[in-house]
Amino acid sequence: MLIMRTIRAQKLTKTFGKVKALTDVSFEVKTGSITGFLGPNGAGKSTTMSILLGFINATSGEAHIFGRPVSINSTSIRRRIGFLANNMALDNTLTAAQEIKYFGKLADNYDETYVKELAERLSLDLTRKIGSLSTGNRQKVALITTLMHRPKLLILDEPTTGLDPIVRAEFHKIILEMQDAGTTVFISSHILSEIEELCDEFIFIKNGRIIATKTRDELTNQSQKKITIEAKYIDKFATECQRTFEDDIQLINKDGGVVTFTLTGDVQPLFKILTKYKVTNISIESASLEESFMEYYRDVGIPQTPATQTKKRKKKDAK
Amino acid sequence: MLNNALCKILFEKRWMIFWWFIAAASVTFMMMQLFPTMSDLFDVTITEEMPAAMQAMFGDMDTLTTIEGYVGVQIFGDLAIIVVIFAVVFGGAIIAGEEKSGVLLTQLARPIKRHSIFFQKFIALTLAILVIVIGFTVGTFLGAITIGDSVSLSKFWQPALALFLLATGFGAITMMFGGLGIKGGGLITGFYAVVGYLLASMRDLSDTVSTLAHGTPFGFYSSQTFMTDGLDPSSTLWLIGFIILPILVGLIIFTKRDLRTT
Repeated sequence: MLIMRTIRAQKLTKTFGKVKALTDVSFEVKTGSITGFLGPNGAGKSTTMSILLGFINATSGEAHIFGRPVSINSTSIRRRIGFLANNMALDNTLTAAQEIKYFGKLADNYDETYVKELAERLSLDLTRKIGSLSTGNRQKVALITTLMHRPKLLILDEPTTGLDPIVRAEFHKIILEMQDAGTTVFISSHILSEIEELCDEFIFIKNGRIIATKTRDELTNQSQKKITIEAKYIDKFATECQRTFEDDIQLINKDGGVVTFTLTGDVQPLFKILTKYKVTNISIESASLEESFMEYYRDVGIPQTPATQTKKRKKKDAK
Repeated sequence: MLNNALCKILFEKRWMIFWWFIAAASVTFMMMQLFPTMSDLFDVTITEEMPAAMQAMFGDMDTLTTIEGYVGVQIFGDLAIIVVIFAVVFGGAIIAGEEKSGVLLTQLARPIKRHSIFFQKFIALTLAILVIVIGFTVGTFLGAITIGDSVSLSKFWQPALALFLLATGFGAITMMFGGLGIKGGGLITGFYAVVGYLLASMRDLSDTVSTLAHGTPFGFYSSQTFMTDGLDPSSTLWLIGFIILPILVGLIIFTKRDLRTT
């Protein structure tokens, strides 16, 4: 079966003066997929997205969207793209309706009925001035300007920043509906539960280089699992597991007839071993995307949220 | 109303344009009220007692004793800087200001070409300057009427046109800095305008000052003679050149360079 690609980045390199922001970044995004673009702050996510949209030029390499090079056809490509920037700037002097209408006119495809539907679903009052809106409501305006022309490709950078859980859930619903209608989604977010919920594929970027590209199944299979087994002859079972999985297995606890360990990679050989023992209970917990993310970026140093920083400061003060 | 970038800028900046219009009209109107006093003050005796540098700065004092001379020197000469300041502020806000705030990026995420956005912003700049120049001229004309002097309205179009070209030139230079992505373009242009204004004021002092003055649009803006002799075609062409060149440079670089994305 021929698999269509909506985005194809080939060896994208970008330098800003002496700083190399991207090095040979290559990846593909399948048509109709929702692909998560993951990495810590400064990894190169926004730079990559800026090249895809023609805001900045790659120092070398080329990106294709809808099969056309972005360096040449940027404007016509953008006609079919909905882009949401992180903290998208809006004009405070206009009302939400005026701002949305203006962007609709720029895109030459303003559908008032669909805008009203989106505003209703996201609970946004279109008559209010943007300057008087909360961060969450400003984000809703930005989302509507991104979605209103039913684009074939959505490029979303932190789309749900500031949204409450109810609106976030509604937004996820809209995204999934758009995927059903054939839209491809390329999304970057630090809310990993969101990425985990929405995405079919995951691209991991670190220090301006792509370090892994995984499908949901691959990530599930390859991720670390926490396994607890209750069986007879548990010592012998544990020894056999350690011999089979070598470095991929980490024993956590062995108490009486119960053994708990973590396992990385394919679990099929474990089932073969289990057939030889009389197992009375088994539990397998897959690692979340967050745990996989931490695994990939362990040495990078995950940026701290203000909450964790405050906690640390409090601890320090207490000392 | 908000069908394109041009309309949006004008709509968004409508109050700014309106208040500058009022300010320009008020200042020139009030300045005209001083004409009877000033024309008496600048008689031959005072002129002769003035140092050469001051004479050079104020020009031929005889001109200040006539309404045409007063309008040329005091209004379209000294007060021209008001319209220039407006042009620099406006020109700085529409490219560099919008890029800094991120609004420009939001617009360019749509299927609109960069040169189209740049060109629409330039048209908005010229229209805004035109409105301020109209306010400036109307204030002067009404001021002349209220002091009982009659000046034909048809005499105002040439100084008004020259002022429009002068201010648009400085606005275009500010836009050029925005197009090039140079921070502080408004300040640089403002400084350049003040230096040009001072050099042009003192151009009669020496050939060197006069030559230096011609490095700025003010060097080709001879307000003293606009009301009496009209516009000099070669100076007008130079003023137009000071608009076209920076706009072209800004436009070319703006369409090719990396935008500020953070």
